[in-house]
Amino acid sequence: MNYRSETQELIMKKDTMDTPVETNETKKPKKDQEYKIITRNLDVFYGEFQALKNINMKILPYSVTALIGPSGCGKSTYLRVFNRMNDYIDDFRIEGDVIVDRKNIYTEKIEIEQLRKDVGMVFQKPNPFPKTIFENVAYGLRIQGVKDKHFINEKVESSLKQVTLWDEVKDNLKKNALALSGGQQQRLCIARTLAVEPEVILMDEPTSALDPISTGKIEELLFDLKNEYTIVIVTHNMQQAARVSDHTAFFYMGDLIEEGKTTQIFTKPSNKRTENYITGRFG
Amino acid sequence: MKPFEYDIENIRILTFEMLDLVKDQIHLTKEALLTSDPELSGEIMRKEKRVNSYEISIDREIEDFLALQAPVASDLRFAMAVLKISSSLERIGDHAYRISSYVFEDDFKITKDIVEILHIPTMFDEIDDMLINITDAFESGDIQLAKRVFKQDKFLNKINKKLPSIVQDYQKKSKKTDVEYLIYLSRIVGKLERCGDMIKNIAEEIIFYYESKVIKHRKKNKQITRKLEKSENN
Repeated sequence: MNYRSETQELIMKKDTMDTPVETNETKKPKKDQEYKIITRNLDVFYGEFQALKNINMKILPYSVTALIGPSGCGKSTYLRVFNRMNDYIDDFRIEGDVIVDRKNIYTEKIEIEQLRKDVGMVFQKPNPFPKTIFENVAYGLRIQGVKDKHFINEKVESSLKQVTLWDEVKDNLKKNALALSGGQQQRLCIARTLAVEPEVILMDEPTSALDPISTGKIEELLFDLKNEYTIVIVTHNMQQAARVSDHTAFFYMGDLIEEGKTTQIFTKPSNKRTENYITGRFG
Repeated sequence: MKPFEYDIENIRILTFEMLDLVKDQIHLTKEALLTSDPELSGEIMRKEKRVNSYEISIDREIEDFLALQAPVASDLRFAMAVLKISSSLERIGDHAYRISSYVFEDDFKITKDIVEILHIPTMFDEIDDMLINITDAFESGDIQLAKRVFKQDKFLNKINKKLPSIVQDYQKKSKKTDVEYLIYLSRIVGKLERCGDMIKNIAEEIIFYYESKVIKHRKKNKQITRKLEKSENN
């Protein structure tokens, strides 16, 4: 046990000196079954170009994991591996294991539609359908064949409440979603993802097109959502990664340079390249 | 150089300037005390205002640096360390100011016979050397140099601990009954010992900055644990 955790332990113990306290150092290592996503020896190619090199990483459930790194480092490619979004790209090739909920999503027989329901995605630019607010959220349920109107109504309301959009739109549910502001549209897209009850939410720079107030709302939302979902977020905003994530992984030129608890990465990174990147000395 | 690197450099320069000023204050205080020079003491007291100004300037620079640059990792540790370093330097400056005020305001004159018995010049020299060590350690990142002051601090503590018996012996031999004089002597030695503690704190901050290791209170906490265990066993 290091000195920092010793002192933490003393504070937690207060006056009851005999109460055993579990610290990070005394916690037992987790078993593979306890992770939501595991990648082993993952290589990704676009034709001859290798976008990811031998990535080994485990993602805990009910947490926010931030993927950071300069443009072209492979972080978005890695994110899209989890719901097979790269499959649409010509010459895309993958080697190694990608295990989501104990299933290898590239070798086992799985239904892509089901995978994308379980592993939802939110993109950089809000992309609502040119339909009403209500229909945008109900869309996924209808695709799944849900016909129960009462159930759909309830689901639309609860999803919009989860993203704190309900009070802003409850009187205008028939309004076209494209008439909403950028921040509202992004929250609507998150509500659309939540409506089909995913296990994992992937976010590819979800706030880069938003103003600080909308960004703040999305970040607040992430904090609440991680109690129910596993969230993986790609961000170029270092402070956002530091604010919202529990774990951070730094990628550079297709390599996973370092990953660990966000507090560790942002206070005492073990790799010089990580230090240079997060402190802005890179390049 | 990137904009935030200018900020860091600026804070570094201010910190080294403050270190030099405090070193100078200690040097002058020794001279003023040993020669009972009220003019020199007055100069030290005037310079104390500059020491305080440095602390405020560094506080402001770091406040801006944290708010505008949102530093992380070693840059954040640098800012945290410098905040505490400047606060410790200011307190060393305070001690120098207090000792000078005994000469300047209270017309305190130290007698030569007690100076050597109490090792007062040695204490001043040790503090001077400790300040040089931490300045070099902060500049170069030489942790061994920073750790050297821990030993030097122990030496100062030892003198302070022996103070009551030394004063008692002196009182018996010299038959001096001026209690006020003896209180002043105790205060001076106590303040010099506190300067050593402050420099030790600075060394701990330098180690924290360069190695991200927190070492403060470690030994004392162990001592407390041992004492508590001992009393429980009895």
